[in-house]
Amino acid sequence: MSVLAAMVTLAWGCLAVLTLAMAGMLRQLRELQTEVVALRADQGMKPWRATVGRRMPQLAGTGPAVLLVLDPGCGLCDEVHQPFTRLPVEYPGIRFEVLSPRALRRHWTEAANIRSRVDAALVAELDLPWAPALLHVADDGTVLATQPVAAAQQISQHVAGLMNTAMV
Amino acid sequence: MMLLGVPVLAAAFLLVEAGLEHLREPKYLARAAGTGLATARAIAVVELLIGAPSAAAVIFGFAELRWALAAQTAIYLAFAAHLWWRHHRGDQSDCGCNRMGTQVGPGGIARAVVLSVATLVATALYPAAALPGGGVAVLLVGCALVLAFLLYTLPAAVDGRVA
Repeated sequence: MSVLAAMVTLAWGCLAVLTLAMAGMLRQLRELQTEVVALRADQGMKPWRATVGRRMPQLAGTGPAVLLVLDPGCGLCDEVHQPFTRLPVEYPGIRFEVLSPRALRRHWTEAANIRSRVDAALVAELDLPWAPALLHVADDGTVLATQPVAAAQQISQHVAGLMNTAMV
Repeated sequence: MMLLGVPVLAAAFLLVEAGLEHLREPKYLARAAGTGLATARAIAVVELLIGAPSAAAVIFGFAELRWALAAQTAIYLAFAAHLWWRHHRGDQSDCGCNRMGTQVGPGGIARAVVLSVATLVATALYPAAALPGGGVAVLLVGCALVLAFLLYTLPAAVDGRVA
C-alpha cells in the first residue's frame, strides 16, 4: 500500500471516530434539552412567567400602561400597530406605549397619543418569547401580565383580556 | 501494515497519558477501580511501563519489545472486561478512562475492545506492524497523536460525563 493511500485511509478512520464523537455529543445535547423541558414542566415554569411580577422602573409612569412590544422585522407587528393606535380612546387613563429593540418604522412614530421608544436593553430584559407581545404594567413599573398577539383584528380583545388578568 | 501500526501507536499513547494522569491524581482511578491509592499508583506505573515500550516497539520496530505489545493487548482486554462487567451491573459511575470523569458505557468498552484487537493482530504480525522509517514515520506518528486525542475524548462524547 502506498503512503498516500495509507494516509487517506487513516484520515477516513479519524473522521469516523470524529463522527462517532459528534453523534454522541448531539445525543447528549438532545437528552439535556429534554431534561430541561421536563424540569420546567415539573416546576410549572414558563419562560415569560419570569417577567410577570417584576418591577421595571423604566416602564413606570402616571397610571397603568399597556405596552406593545414590536420588532420592525416582523410582519404581524406592522399589522398590529395601526389597530393598537385606536385603543387609547377606549381606555382613558391608561398609558399606551410601543417598545421596540430596533429603530421603529417611520409610520409607527406618527401616532400622537402613543409614546414610542427604542430600547434594546429593556426588550432583552423583558425576555419575551413572542413578537408582537402585550404587557400590562402598573404605574410603578411592575409587569402585571403578558400576552402574545395572535391576530391584528383581535388586538382589542387581547387588551381587554390582558386588563382583566391579574399577575399571571 | 502501516495502517495497523497507527491505531496501535495511538493505543500506546493513550496508555502513557492514562498512566501519567493516574500517577498525578491516583484518587480518581482508586475510586473507579475500587482500590486503594497504592494500588492505583501501581496500576499507573504498569500503564507507563507497558505504554512507553509499546510506542517504542511500533515506532522503531525493536523485536525485543514484542512483549510490550502483548502486554498492551492484555491490559486493554482486562480493561474492556472490567468496564463490561461494571456496565452489566448497571454501574454508571466514573469509568476511570481519564480525568474527564466519563461514566461507564458502550463508548469506553468499544474503544478498549477495538484497541485490544488491533494490538493483538499487531503482536501476531510483529515486526511487520512497525512503522516504516524516514519521513513517513513522522507523518504516521502525527496521525497516531491525532487519533489518540480523538480516542481520548470518545468515551466522554459517547457515554457522557458522570452525573
